[in-house]
Amino acid sequence: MEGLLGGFIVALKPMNLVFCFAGASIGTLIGVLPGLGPTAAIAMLLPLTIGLDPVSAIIMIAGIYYGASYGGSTTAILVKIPGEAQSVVTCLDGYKMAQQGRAGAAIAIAAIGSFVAGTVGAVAIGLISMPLVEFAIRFGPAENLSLLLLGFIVILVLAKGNVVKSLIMIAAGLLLSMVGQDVITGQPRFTLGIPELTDGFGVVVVAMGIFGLGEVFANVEKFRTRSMQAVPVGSLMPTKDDWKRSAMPIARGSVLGFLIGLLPGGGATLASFISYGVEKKFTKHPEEFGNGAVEGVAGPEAANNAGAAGSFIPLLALGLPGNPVTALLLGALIVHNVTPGPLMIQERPEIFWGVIASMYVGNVMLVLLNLPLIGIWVQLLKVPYRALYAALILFMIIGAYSLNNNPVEILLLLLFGVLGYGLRKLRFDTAPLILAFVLGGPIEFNLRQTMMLARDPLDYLMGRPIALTILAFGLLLIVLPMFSKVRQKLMLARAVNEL
Amino acid sequence: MTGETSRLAATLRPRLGAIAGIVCGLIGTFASLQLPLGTSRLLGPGAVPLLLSLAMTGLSLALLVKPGADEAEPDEEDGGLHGAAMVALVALMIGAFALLLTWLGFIVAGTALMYGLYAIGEEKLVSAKALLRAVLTALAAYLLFVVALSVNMPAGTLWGY
Repeated sequence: MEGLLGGFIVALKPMNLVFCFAGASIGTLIGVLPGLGPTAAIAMLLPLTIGLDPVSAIIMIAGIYYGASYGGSTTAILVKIPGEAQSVVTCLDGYKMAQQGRAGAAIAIAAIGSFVAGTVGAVAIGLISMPLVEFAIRFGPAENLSLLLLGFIVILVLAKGNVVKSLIMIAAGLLLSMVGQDVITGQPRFTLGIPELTDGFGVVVVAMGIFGLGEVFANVEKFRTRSMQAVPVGSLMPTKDDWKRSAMPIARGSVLGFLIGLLPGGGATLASFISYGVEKKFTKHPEEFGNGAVEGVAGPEAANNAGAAGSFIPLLALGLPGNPVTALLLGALIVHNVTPGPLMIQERPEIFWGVIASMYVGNVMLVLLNLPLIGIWVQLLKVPYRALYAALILFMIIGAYSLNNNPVEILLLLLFGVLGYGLRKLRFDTAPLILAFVLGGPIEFNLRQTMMLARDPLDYLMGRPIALTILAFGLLLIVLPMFSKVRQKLMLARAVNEL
Repeated sequence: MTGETSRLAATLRPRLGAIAGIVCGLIGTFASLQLPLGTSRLLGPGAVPLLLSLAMTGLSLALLVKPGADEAEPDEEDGGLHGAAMVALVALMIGAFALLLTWLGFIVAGTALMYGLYAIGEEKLVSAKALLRAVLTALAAYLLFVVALSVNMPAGTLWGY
């Protein structure tokens, strides 16, 4: 708890409060633009933080994250266009509530649910991180490698759509990460003699291109076809019945979301979907689900916020990003010369605890400052995208250039923007690619170190129980769904025979 | 988009992705083979990329043989050829901006880029509104990034800076 208090001292410094507010406001501004969610918002706004000191930068990014999530929920409720997958569930009942003239109540419940979950998340991170760090500090290359592989397995198990496509994306991301100097020998690889590629592709340029510019390109395509009609907001005050019905879903969503967020590949989206399912089971009004049930907004919104908080733990304590947002945060930390992992908490405690405290402060900002500004955000929804996209592109271009003061970075941004757009058109999920890109360096380094240390890899692995347990868990994750599929097929065959 | 074209797109799309994957995998394999592969204990710089490139080729082949269903979102819109042309135009302008930035400087190149982008948005070649917006956006970006955040943007060799 001492660390968390120290974190609050850092986060509550007037300058950091200003950055947190600025991040939350600009994040909301981007988040309310239809189709743009937290990942795109962070990717686009990373450049704004480059001139800042690391703590202020990370605090601002956390603000952007929460602001964009809040903005995404607002558009999900008002125009039924979620900013990102994590707000998809909110569309179901939130938009129905809006159609019934209760948009204000839905937005308020979403914000309050997020605030409660953020509070639970901040405290839980404080409690869990230290023991985890003490455990992780004993990890060698084999354990790190197993953990990274487990991350990929979970990403695959949870990936949406075709598994082969996800595997291709992982291979592509890993290959992209190998451009530049070899991690062990320092020999240049795939640089084509271009000096700018000697250090490899920067995470910020790759993420900003694939998520940010790629998303903008996809929206440019729809200039003509997209028209929006926002539903009036109405009173922001939820009714007494709304409060009563939301209390337990928010509590359940907070705990459930946090636990799911801890899993690599988990995070906000999965948490919100599971919470919706759970609330549907617990409710006394199942018939209202899909028709404007306040529980269907309260639970998932709390869960996605708690899930986001939970996903910070593997990132900060182990240096292992579990989803695209945390992968971007990892990139941002690296840009600011901070390497997340067990050593960061010991060497740079002000960053670790500052980030956690700022997550909480960011949530307070959203409730106290952003919620009353809802009118402005709704006005923004009426501004056509064609009038805003140019500024978004300029933001990203300046950001890319400022990384090395080199126009080649803008060309790389464009290259990855076109790649991201192309992958969207070909229906490839870009999240595995970006995760693989971020994890590629550590995976190769740990693999090659493990191979060097092990005379007989199998024998070596037998002597590493933690690595073995992690790998066994990963194997179980692959095998279990197969068994349930086989069982389903057998039961189906039996049922057909009996007919 | 007509039903027939969208059916054709649905059939071609997964195969196009698979072919692109095969091409990238083969290029990766060729490039990795130019690097030292090392031994099983001391892996060289080419070993891991080689394995990954081969995996990518194999997986893309599997996707080509069994592409699966086209995974379009139910309410996903497609801008068609017009949309793709808009994207190509925007991409070209960004590329031109990158090439001209050092020569023209941020304010001139930025205003020109913004004008182009706003003009695309309005679908008009000449537009006073787009010009006004472009000047204001470039100026605001200059004040925010260069003046307030001290980002070092080029002033332009053409003007002697």
